[in-house]
Amino acid sequence: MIGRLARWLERRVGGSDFLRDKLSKVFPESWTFLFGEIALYAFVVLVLTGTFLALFFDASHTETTYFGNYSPLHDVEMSAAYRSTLELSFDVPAGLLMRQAHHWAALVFVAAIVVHLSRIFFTGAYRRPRELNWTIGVTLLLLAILEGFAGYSLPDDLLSGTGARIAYAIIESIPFIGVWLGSLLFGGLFPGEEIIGRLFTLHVFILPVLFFGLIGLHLALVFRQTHTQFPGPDRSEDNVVGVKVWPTYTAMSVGMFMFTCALLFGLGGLVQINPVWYYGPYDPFVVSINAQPDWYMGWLEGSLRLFPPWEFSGARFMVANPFFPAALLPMLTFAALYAFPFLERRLTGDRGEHHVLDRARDHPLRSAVGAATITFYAILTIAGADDIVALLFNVDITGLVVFLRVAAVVGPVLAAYVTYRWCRDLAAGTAEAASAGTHGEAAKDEGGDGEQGPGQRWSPRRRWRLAFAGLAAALGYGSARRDRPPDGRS
Amino acid sequence: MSGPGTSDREQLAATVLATLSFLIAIVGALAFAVVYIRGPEVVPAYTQLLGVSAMLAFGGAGAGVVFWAHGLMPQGPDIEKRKFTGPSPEERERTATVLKESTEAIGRRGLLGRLLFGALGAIGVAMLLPFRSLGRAPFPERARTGWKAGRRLVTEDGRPVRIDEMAENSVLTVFPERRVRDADSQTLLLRLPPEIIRPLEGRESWSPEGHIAYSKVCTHAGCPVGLYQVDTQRLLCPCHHSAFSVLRGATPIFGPATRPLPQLPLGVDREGYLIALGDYDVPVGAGFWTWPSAARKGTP
Amino acid sequence: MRDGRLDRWSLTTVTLLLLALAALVLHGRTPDAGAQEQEEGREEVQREPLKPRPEADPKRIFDRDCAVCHGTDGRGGSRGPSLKDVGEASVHFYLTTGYMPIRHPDEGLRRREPVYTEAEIDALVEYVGGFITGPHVPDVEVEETKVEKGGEVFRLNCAQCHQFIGTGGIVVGSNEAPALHQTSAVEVVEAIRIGPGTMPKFSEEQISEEDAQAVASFIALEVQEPTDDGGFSLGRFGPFSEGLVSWVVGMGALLVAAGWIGKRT
Repeated sequence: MIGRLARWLERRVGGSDFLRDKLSKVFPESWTFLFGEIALYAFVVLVLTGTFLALFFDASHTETTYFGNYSPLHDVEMSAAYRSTLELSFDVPAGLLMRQAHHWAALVFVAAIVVHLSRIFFTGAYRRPRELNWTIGVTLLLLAILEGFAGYSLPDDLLSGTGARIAYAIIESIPFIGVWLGSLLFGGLFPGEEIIGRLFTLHVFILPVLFFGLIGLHLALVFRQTHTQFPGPDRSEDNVVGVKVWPTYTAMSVGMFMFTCALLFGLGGLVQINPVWYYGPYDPFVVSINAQPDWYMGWLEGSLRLFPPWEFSGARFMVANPFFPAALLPMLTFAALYAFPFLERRLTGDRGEHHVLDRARDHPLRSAVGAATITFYAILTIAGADDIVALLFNVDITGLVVFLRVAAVVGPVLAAYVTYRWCRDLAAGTAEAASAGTHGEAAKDEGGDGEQGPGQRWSPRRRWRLAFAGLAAALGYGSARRDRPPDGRS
Repeated sequence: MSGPGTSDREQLAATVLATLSFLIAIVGALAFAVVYIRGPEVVPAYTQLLGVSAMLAFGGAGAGVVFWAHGLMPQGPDIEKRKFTGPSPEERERTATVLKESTEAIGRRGLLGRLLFGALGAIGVAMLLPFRSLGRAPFPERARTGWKAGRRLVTEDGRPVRIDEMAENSVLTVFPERRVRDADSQTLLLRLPPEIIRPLEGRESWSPEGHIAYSKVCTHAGCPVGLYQVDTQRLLCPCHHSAFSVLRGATPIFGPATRPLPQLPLGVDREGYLIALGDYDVPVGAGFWTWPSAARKGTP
Repeated sequence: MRDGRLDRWSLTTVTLLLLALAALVLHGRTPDAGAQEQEEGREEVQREPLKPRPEADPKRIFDRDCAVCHGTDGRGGSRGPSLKDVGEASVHFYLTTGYMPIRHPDEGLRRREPVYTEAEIDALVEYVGGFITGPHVPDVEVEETKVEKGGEVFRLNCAQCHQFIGTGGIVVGSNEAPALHQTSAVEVVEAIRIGPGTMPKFSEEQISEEDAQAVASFIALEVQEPTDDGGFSLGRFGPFSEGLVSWVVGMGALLVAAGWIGKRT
């Protein structure tokens, strides 16, 4: 059937040489190369479920009341946006499944982007010629966070309204234009009457269009520039070793797509997310403890909570407190992300083309920077839910805040140090092992199930042991492994 | 083209597993359809069953495809030469030549070129201007609230508050009459044992019979400062945990807030209702660029 | 193979992190089961020696268990506050919640199994009511029709400390706004009137009798029997637990799937 379709198309559109060329393209099969696909397929689920939701959602501030299946909110004044979200949850068949799958897909989408970005970072896959695709990827992360926040704000429940309130204050804190900008975006002083409609346009039209364009470009560049690969037998800068796009890689990719759908709809049906009926409709004078944003905004919420009570105030002008943790920090974060490949190029002087990936241990400094960055933002994210942490562990919130303030400074340094030492020890261990002649064991079983390699081949247990010995050594518990022959002969 | 690279036995296993998986997928999809059609009135745990059947459908399809791919499709390794290593020097040369020739055909028109850019820039700026229609800078209203001398304090359902109705150590959210539920005017009215209040200088008369009122809009990021802790006499913002001392003019004592909550001067009218004696002396809520001048003059 | 090791280590690290986080969540109190277990555990340790012999005479109980701090006439002293105008509602509230009696003045207020039987509590309330004034024990009727109003009043006046669906929240210091999963309807109305611990109190003008009853109905019928139509509730803590699940379960499962589909090299 596929053959017939192809013939039909060929007679009308042509391009069989192009197709042949693309279908026999080779992709490496490492499982870590599927992280980006997870993000892509989560995006597909977002588009499909989002289209369903948009058919029922009413993006308006109009005051109304609800009389559907959920009786505890009958006759309560609310916006049309909140009412239609309630109806999606209780009165539209399969609406709750779609809502929840959509929300889980959003959380997993950003998480997959972060994991994908980390893989790219630690393996140095952003180096020439892929700096351009790195910047596109970073842009996609930025847009994903914005898209998520816009979506989180749409139902006009107590938590999303609180989020919008804080966003308004952050916008207001921007020097020169803040107050004007806030009032312009919200259609007047907070809460305004426009923000839900505008966020809806942003959420279902402007940002998705950008997503389609940038994701297309991202993938086109991967195709054009060919995929990177890990070092291995017969692998070099001049070739790609893997399987062909058709049929094997396509089947693998379709499998990943199906599993992503399975997980997201499974979560959507089984695990409750964003139960807006508990939060209640938003009123500017109502608030709840334990209000947090979705996880990908947690670092901003955390930095707002941890930043000390500083602001710069003169006789006529002031730079208000939220500007530093919630406007300046994200600007610096994304500036650093955009700049990293170019910065590294400049610092190392390495301007060559790279298609074979680095191992994290061989670049201790880069890995240390990565570990410090992840630690910093992880601590901020935890701080974004410090009230929940305090509740779960029954500790004083003020003490916890002070602890997290210290941790946000010390933690990254510690993580960098440990990672650096760990990488160094691991690299040294590999070198020793190689010189001890272990690589003689390495069987070359081409076409096998992937356990190939010219280097040393250790049993999984040994690898674990070595990894932890390395970590222990990095933490200062003596470098036990170095004193012993690396192959374990005693 | 390399074959699957697996034995017949493994191929058979893959075929059986893939078949089973696809059958599970079909059953899942049918179950989804049945659950959906029977509807939430009939099916208990409707959303959950929909989710599980969808998960089975997708998961089965995924597993089937992967068994198929691993067991029955060509496994490689296939090797492809990397064609992308940037343009060759000759190619670059050729493109440069073409560009140069066609550019020369235009001739040197430096002024026209610059004017074109100028025109485009001017158009860009002009076309951006209509976005100002969205609104003007919200002054003076950003520096003011609905409070005026003589306005009664009313609850969110519009009921005025009498001087004798609140219990000691209690709290109420109030608004100026005629501006009920106004976001910037929201105010916390507290009643304390009068002897424990330590008023700031000049505010000694602002708290009749232990009633004291602060803006409910946090000076950090604008959340409602909802938590009132009686034993420590603190107000707490649930968003970022700024704490304010109720007894000492709501000065911040913990968290990111830098400025005290503005205090509303209170009085009592002849009928015994609480009234405001004026507006807040500084803009409520989070800080902004012109805050200091707005605080001094009421407008920037 | 050389490249494979990095990936396994990242996998190891990720797995360990996720396990730690999962442990964190499981260890924490889920409001339904965990809290109860914890409370019971604590009660066993701290309460056992206090469990008094059954006693018919409330005066004897008062003099034995309460007078140490509050004085035989309820006037209070250096160790405890006066009871003179706290009202029978307070006495009833503190005894049914197990907040009182405490062994030590510094012991925080914490929900426990009540020390006395229902009959003993009623007798004590009546006895103490003889020499104090203040709010009486209310009659509370939980009704379905009041839930809507109750929710509104709850969100405006209570959610800032007790959280939107009553899972409780930390306040500063050791003071915690407790979860409301075990609070009886009578206790709800009593708490509104007397302001136990660090909670402010509300007069009948602030929250009318009808609204207070509505809040009690909301707590009994929605907070304590929540509408978890979406599936597992994750403790109703809000987006924090959802983010955790999206990483631990969501990314966890998808990484396992990726590990199966792709080659671990």
